[in-house]
Amino acid sequence: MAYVALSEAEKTYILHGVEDDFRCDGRSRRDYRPMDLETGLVSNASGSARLRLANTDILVGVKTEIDVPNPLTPEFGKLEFFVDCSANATPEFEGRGGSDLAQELILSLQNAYESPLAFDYRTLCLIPGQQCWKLYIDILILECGGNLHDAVSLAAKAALFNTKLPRVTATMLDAGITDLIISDNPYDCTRISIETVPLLVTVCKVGDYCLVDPSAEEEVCSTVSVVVSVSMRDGQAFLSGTHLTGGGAMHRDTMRNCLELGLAIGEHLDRLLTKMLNLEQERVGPKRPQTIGFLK
Amino acid sequence: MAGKYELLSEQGLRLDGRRPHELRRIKCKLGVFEQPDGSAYMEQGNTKVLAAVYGPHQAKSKHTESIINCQYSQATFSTAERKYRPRGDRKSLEFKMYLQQALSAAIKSELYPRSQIDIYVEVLQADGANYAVALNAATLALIDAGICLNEFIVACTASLSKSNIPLTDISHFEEVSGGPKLTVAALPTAEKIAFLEMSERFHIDHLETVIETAMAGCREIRDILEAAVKEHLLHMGSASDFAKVC
Amino acid sequence: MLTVNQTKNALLDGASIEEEPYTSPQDSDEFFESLDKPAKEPTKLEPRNTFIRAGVLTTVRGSAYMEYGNTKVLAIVAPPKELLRASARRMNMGVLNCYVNFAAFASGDLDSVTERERHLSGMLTKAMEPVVCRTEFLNFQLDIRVLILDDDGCLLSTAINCCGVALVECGISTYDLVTASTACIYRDHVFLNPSAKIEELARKHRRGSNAVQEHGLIITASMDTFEQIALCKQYGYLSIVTYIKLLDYTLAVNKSLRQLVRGVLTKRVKEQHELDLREKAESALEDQRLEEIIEKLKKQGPEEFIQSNIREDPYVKRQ
Repeated sequence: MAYVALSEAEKTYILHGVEDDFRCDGRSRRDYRPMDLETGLVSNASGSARLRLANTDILVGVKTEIDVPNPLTPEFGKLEFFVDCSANATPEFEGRGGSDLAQELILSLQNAYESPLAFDYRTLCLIPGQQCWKLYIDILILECGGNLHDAVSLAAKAALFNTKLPRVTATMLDAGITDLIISDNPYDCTRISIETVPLLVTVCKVGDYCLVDPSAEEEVCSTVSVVVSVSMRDGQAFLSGTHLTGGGAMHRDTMRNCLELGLAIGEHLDRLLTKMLNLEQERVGPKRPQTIGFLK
Repeated sequence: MAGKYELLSEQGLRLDGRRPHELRRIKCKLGVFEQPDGSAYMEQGNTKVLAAVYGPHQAKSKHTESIINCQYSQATFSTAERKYRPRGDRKSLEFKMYLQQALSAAIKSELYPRSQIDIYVEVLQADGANYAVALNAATLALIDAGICLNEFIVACTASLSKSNIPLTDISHFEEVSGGPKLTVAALPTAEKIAFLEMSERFHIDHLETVIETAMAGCREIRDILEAAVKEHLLHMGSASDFAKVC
Repeated sequence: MLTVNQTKNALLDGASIEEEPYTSPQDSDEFFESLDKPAKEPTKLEPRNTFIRAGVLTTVRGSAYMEYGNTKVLAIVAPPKELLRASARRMNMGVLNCYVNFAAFASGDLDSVTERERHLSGMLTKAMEPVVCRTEFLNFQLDIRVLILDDDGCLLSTAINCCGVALVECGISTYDLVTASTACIYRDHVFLNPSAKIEELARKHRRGSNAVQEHGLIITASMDTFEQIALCKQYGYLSIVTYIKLLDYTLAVNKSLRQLVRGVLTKRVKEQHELDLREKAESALEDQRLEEIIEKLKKQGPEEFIQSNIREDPYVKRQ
């Protein structure tokens, strides 16, 4: 993790702010920082999204490939996550410096997407037992401003929403061999349902209180945080993978509170993201506003 | 693929509709990130590059002269075919060396003894002339970081069509269609070449014209970059009365 | 000198050796049908048959071996040493590194071994970090190595338990004794300390039926003096009510495991104490013998003493 050095006085200041429910940037403990979201930026990828959560900058590209399904799950497609911590974020990530952090993020995402209830792998199936889509979700971290888990999962979900899989028709040839015909028309495509796709919410324990969306400075002050993966199904929030991180321990009741907070926030976040994405989708052609971060 | 496509049509237009001496559309912006000391985004056609500069800071090793440290990496989704590694392959190591070579010609390194300057380049989308765009982005990031340069260092590619007409700023499609590719990194005002690389072959008689085309491209890009820097400074200084000075 | 608590080799007991993992999706269903399902709510919150022994290796200071049912794990803790990588240094904490390795003969999917090793190492580090007093060895690193000899489910929790014992054996200061256990739920049946096959079933839930069925796995490591949870990893798809239910089960199992581990450690200390006593007694005896000899020497004078101590060499041929 990009490491921020804080003095004791600074830490105390942050701690007191959290106690009074008035954080350094004026937020309450349950508030998120402002977010910018853009989709469909990278023309070489099937789907892409860029998310900027205050200083955290994430670019996600989804690339597709045709693969053979796992014999144990003939009806399921495949997902693969890859996280690259760019040295642009901090010189610490130069070379292989960011691989530990990247690995942690990959594992959290893999875990969250593992259950077929969280991500419907059957939509990626082409011919059961023979051909399926394999999606590579490549995540590039351009700047670290804290709360990477949440930002990465939001961006991944947005990129999946933006992903267009070309329509594929199969023809039977002699000897039972099937041949796939991939549509050339860029508008003839299928989309991925993202209704149940999970979001990660980091609930951070600073002092005696739990808060969401910690900034890099708050992360340094926190002893422990819970990463909650929230998947919405039929209007109900489910946990699709949680883990403790940060090198501390917490009481069972605190854990329960954190989970409840995480679920509530996740539900809200999911609703907002879906709304945002639908808005973004409608803005095409000349209606598309000038993009925010870097030029397009 | 070699020789399959003619790079220039009978009407004298290239595959993407440009004239031979035309550059692709260039967009650039300085100071896109807050954490690095200097950062820039550069877009040349469909090639999109981010560059960040950290430093000058204390060097880890005990050299007395300044160290210019570069890293070139390409996002896994940047190319049409997915890349398996963003960096560490031979091509990126080669580009990293070339970047170091070209930039050390431009940076006034005598002003930064015992210090290190880190330059990180991230290619988000690759569509030909990756190295040239990366170098141009790095130049802008260095300027944004306030590091002293002798002058703008800019790079441009050039090629030669079958009918021996030189082409400026070639795209990925033109690269793989089998023409020669010449990359020049130059200090345009001083008319010095800091780096030159060529692939494929053509007759030595054409070398001078092709280099001259690339140099012309460099000069043109330099003007665009300079305008971008000026605009950025105006924007930065608009709170004070900075605009009047320029 | 074995500290046997309860040893039962399941294989000698007549249980079958773990067969091949599933080969088709139907297998998992069949396997589930063939299981004797526990009651919907488990009644006995007990660990499996457990065997723990601290100090199994002579070359390292802290080592422990644990069998948890058929899962067999060996943990080794070496005393802290100076940081190898200066960049890993943190301001006020020592660095903890855990390495998990499967024994060369471990079965299962060979391709995924390195990935699993890396995953387990990461999880183990996360679990041990809150346990060890890291402030006590600033600028030092502590390496914990775990060797997995046999995997029959509850792998991570067994590794955590074993490391807890090895840490104490090595004399590393910890905040508390750490114990861990695993619970999972599949088709409304709760399994405590699941076997590898059930774990797989509960985690992956491969049959993508449309009905929403909660399935999942929880691994909890806890320190019971202050009721702190050091690690809580969940896989699968659970509602919060089920989650808390499973969490409470694992915490209860952890409590009983803790009694067991404590028993082993106390016994180990006593044993060590006895060993020390015996050693002391032996050295006292030796001292006494020496004194007697010196006494004899003083009485007899050197010439006579040597003569009386010469024995005939049986290997020298007589002339």
